[in-house]
Amino acid sequence: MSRRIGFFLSAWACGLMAAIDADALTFDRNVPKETQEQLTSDLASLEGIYGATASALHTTVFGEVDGSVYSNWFRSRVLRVGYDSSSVGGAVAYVSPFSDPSRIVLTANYTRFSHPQIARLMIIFHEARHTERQNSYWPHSRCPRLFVDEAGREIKSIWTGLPLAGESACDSQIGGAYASTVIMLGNISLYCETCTEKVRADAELYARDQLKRVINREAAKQIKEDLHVAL
Amino acid sequence: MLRSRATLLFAVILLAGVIVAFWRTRAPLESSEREVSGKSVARGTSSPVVREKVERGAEDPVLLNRLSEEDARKLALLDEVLASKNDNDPRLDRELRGLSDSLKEKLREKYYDLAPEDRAGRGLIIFLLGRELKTEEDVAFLSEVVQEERCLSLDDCTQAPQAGAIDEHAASAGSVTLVYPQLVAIRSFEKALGNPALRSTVRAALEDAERYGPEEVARAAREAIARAEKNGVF
Repeated sequence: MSRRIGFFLSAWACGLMAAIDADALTFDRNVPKETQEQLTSDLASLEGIYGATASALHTTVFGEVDGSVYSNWFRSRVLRVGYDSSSVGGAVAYVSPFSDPSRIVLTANYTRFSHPQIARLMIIFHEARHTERQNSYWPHSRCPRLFVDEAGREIKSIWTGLPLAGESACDSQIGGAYASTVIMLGNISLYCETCTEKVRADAELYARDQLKRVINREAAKQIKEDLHVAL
Repeated sequence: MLRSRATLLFAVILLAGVIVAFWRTRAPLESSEREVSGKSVARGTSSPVVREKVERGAEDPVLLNRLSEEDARKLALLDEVLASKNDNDPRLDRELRGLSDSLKEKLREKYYDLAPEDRAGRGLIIFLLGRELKTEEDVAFLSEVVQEERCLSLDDCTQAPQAGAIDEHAASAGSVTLVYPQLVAIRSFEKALGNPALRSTVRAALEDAERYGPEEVARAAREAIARAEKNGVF
């Protein structure tokens, strides 16, 4: 009798596992195994994150500092993963909001470029923000004609040395893709209790850089206050 | 007949003994040859700190790359983390601390063994070395890294991308990654300012970074100095 119960319990567990797996990301056929494994591994690493505290803005955008919360947030927006073998332009990932908003496309650079793990996660969460139809996909703003840092120096592209002024690579909304990843990374840096020292340090490093893309002074000020001017 | 068989058997055993003895004396010789060839890689680097160490290495047992079992285990663990690209591996904090001088030396060599385009790998090594800054030599190596020529592209550090080839929105993370090891070093310096014994050396290294480092790195150094001044560290 107990054997039968054990058998049914096992069958039920297998069914449950299959159901959970059904929630897993769907990869297009052309996504290389290496890319699939890297994304899966990055998301699995993220799921280990936990912090007892979260800032107010983080609670609004994501919820708690918790791996399962991040995972649900991402998977509720991104249902499919595509692949673009092109590596032109330095892009690592992108979303085509008007044609297929729930599909994130990873490029060959996702595995080819040597970004630290938190940077890869930052990129895919940035792109996931662009899937939100109800928020008009959080469009970016053009960086201002006079785009300077706090010391009054012109902010330039490190790639080309040319000014970033006029590029569509800034945010003026506090919930925008750059701004929201600053909030996410800032919270990981401040509050993650299960992260390694390196992940927290990297989160601070990339958040500090991305904050420069938030050009609305009021929005930037709110983020800094929310993160206790940690950046 | 019997005696000749016994003689033959004795000869075979003797020959086998000689072969084993020869093999045992040869094995360490081969491994030391490997060490030497390993060093020739380091000699080819542009690092004065590593090069000087390698040149002195013949006399210094610490620098002969004779890693203890513990160090070898840590090095293998680092290789594992580098391969997995998992920066949230808890062993980074639990086990890759308390680096010995020999292991630090090995990591400096390893930094130059990695391709310049391996920004994350090089950055991880700088992170490990940078959180254990104890001596002027430790600071000197990071200072050397900070003043490296800027990596121009994640594809090929020596080739700048063509004008207009970069999508500034899509490649925004790359602007940090290009100078990632340097920024990690600057952060390590900033933390080390809290150590009174190293403060003046580290401050000088930050000032050098501001003066001689690539623009993005110079800015990070300037910001680190400003924060330290604001917090009354100096």
